[in-house]
Amino acid sequence: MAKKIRAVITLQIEAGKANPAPPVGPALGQHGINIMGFCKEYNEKTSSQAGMVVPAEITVYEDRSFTFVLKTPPASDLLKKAAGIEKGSRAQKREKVATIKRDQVQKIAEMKMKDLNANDIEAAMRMVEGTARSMGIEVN
Amino acid sequence: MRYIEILTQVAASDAERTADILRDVTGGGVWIETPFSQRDLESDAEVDLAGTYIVHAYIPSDGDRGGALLDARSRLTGSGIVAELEARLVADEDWAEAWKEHFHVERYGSRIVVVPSWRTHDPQPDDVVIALDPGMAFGTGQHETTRMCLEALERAVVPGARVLDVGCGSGILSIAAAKLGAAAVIAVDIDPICVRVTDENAVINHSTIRAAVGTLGEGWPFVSAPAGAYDVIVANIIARAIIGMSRSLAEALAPGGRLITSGVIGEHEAAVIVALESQGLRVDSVRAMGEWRCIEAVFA
Repeated sequence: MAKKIRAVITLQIEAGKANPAPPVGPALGQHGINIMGFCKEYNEKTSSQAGMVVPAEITVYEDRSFTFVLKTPPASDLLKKAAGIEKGSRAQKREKVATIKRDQVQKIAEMKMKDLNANDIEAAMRMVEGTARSMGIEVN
Repeated sequence: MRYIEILTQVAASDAERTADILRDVTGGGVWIETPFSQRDLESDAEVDLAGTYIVHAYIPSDGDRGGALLDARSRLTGSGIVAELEARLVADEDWAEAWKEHFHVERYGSRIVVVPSWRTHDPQPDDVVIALDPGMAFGTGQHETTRMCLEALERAVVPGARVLDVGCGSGILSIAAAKLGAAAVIAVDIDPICVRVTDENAVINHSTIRAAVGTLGEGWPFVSAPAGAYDVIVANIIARAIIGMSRSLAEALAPGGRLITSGVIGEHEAAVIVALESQGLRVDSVRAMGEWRCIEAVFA
């Protein structure tokens, strides 16, 4: 299937909750993609991960057909879940909102490894720790 | 409901964090326009980490636009991300329906007509009407390669013919073959999604197609369907794949059978012809549409 690629779009939406409203509608509508077709497929594939943000990387072809792959949830989402908080800190330099353990960071780094541009688990952990710090989550 | 879109351009290294912040601020999902390159038309997209990522988020138009912008700006700055934020009103659209505007009734050759489910068509007496909605498998009819293959099938498939579709995608070519009077249509694709979509489209079109995940040669998925003696084989894949399976393709043709291949770009035309002729096939037609070629060969 030789095909010219029209666009690559990453949607970050909640598992099982894709619908034609923004962001899905404007993101896919501009390329003439079958929106209900995408929503149905996405919701079916993510139904077991309810409550998490599950990104979908969508490749749109020249004839307006498409494929997509699911990615691991954003590190920030996994961190919030691990720390048991709803939101990150707004002014992270002053305010620590939660603390998590290093092995929790490692678990997240392992899970994210395939989607991060990290050469090894140590580098992936540093990236996850950076995200944690910026959210006011302390690692010890 | 109307929406305000908040968007910003950032570098690859800041895209994830920016998306986090905009999701947090707006309480909704975001989408990221990802820069990419495609080495050639037969390759997948490669994400371009040096390119500009555009993150889009939305709030209802009656929401606190100024507050959301201020909040987003201060949190981006707090994370060391330098980025301009832009806000604009999104035109009110029925997104579930608007994309359908891109698809109309299309005629291919003299008889084949592809009709999306939301369009109506008054068929001529000998029209071959295919009901097909675009989706997650290649072959909506909008691509030059699909168009050329449909036109070639119209000429090649006679009633009673046995047809094989290698790389069936949406099933559009298989359905065309069945409706042109083929006695048997066998379809294979290495992608399970394509096989599922082909099955669904075959049911919608009341066409009998045997589709399975697999390919020619060792990957042949059928026990009872013959791997050979086809009157017409259509393979709209890519040059590399066609060259790789040229022997299997030649072996699967009946004497006098015709092979229709596409998905080949101009620069690979010669290599495909050499590969097919080295298997004893005689190339008797090469058509061009844009950068694409459709090559036909017969088993003499």
